[in-house]
Amino acid sequence: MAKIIVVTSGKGGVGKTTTSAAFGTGLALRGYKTVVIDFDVGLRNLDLVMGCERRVVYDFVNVVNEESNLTQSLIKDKRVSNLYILPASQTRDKDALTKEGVERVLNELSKEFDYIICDSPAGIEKGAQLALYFADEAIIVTNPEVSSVRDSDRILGILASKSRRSENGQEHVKEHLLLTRYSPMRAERGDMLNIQDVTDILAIPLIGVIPESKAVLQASNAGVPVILDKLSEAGQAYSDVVGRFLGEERPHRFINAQKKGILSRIFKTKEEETV
Amino acid sequence: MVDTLAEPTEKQSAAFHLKGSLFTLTVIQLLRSDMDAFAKQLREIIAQSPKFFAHAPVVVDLSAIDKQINDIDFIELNRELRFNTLVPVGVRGGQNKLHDQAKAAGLAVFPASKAEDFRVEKNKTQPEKKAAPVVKATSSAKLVTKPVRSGQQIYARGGDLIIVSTVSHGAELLADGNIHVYGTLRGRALAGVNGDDNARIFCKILDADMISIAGRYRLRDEKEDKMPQHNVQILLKDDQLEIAGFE
Ligand SMILES: Nc1ncnc2c1ncn2[C@@H]1O[C@H](COP(=O)(O)OP(=O)(O)O)[C@@H](O)[C@H]1O
Ligand SMILES: [Mg+2]
Repeated sequence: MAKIIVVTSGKGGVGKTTTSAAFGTGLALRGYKTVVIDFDVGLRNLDLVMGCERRVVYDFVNVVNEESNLTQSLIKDKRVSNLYILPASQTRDKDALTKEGVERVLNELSKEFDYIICDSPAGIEKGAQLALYFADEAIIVTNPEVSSVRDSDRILGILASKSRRSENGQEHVKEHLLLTRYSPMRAERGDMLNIQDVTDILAIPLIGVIPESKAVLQASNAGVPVILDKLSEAGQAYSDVVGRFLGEERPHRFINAQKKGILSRIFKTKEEETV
Repeated sequence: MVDTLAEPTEKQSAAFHLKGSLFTLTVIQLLRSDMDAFAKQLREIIAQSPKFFAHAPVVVDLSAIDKQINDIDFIELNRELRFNTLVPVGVRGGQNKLHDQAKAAGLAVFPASKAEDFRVEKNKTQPEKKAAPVVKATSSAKLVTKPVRSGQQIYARGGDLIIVSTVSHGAELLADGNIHVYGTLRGRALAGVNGDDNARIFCKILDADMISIAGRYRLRDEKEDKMPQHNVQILLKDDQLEIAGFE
């Protein structure tokens, strides 16, 4: 039986797709058979971020509507074994997915996979609710700004009341807070919320902090999940997230603003040049 | 809470869905069958706090009625309750012979209670102890142990609301009685919503968008309240909201 994990946020553009790609790849690198599903019907960018857009023939909507079978639609990643992608359709409208259809596909995938990662669309309406409905665990992607925190809070309310687990009176969906696009310097200056502010308000365990990093855009332009860029801070931070998810102790890194001394100015890291 | 009963096959034309739910109802435990005594006491109680009982659904508990009593004038009982703005919905407990009479008067029959009811008492004007019916509510305070998130609303009807977690901005708490928050209160809290001006809000950390007691309210920005404040209570003093510590 696979564990179903939704990557969700309420707000758009906070890093859900980036996270789904990195986290799914990270689990597969650890040897778990993992599939990442794009629930963002109509936008379709998971396949771009994961660099398989030219290999999409059938998509998630086709499988849900029984126009194709899973073997035809699953795309096997070229770099990482154990990793599969179920892309979204670019042409269909948002309501092309049905609850019954999604459930059938998830049940089928559950037999073969260890982890199913659901990349949620933005918003708190039907599409986002469907992406989280069947989840066992949730990664709440949040940026350190008030509107993003507020939307995450609403999504947490929906998880607690409108997920399959809550409707069946089962154990709650396990929640993880992932703070992304964090800039320690701006947080220190008070230009954005700091880690404490966000964890105070959302009151769920923090699974990681991903720094704001140019490496993310470069990686997604290249169609390579950023976790494979092992030199980048964002890539390392995502590896830590996967480690913590699997129960390892990993101290949080890249969360303090660096004082720029003479030495660090001379020995610039790759990261600092690109940020 | 039971929210069961399958929806009918989803035809476009369906006019309704059947759903089950649990409600908190006010219970009037009848001690005698004397309708004059009942009417007299009821009018006194309603006169003390008309808003508290306005249009409240009521179940009449018959378990304390003497087994020798063969008749209760449920038609008169109904009329008296409605006259006093209450809405009778059914009876519970007591003898089967009384149930038949209740049904004939258009009342539902609920199964006898297992749980211990709590006594509804308004601390402002104590109802006299001598007379016949005792007004009870079927459940005690409402306890919430999970965070209350933005967009959620929780109402404790007829009693206190206890939150052992945080309350987010954009969330709303309502209670006929007091509100207790053993976490940070960032959203809105309205105590005594049916007019009880003795209701209070107790709070571990107060950082609220709005606080209100019995209709008197205060928004975050007003009066430049320093927020957050720790270990405070909010009460009405001379018709003004006051944020105070504990002695
Ligand atoms: N840690 C980060 N640092 C810098 N840019 C990021 C980071 N995470 C995401 N982004 C950028 O933000 C944009 C939105 O990210 P995406 O993952 O598509 O968000 P969502 O799926 O939530 O809409 C993209 O351009 C992405 O490259
Ligand atoms: Mg996305």
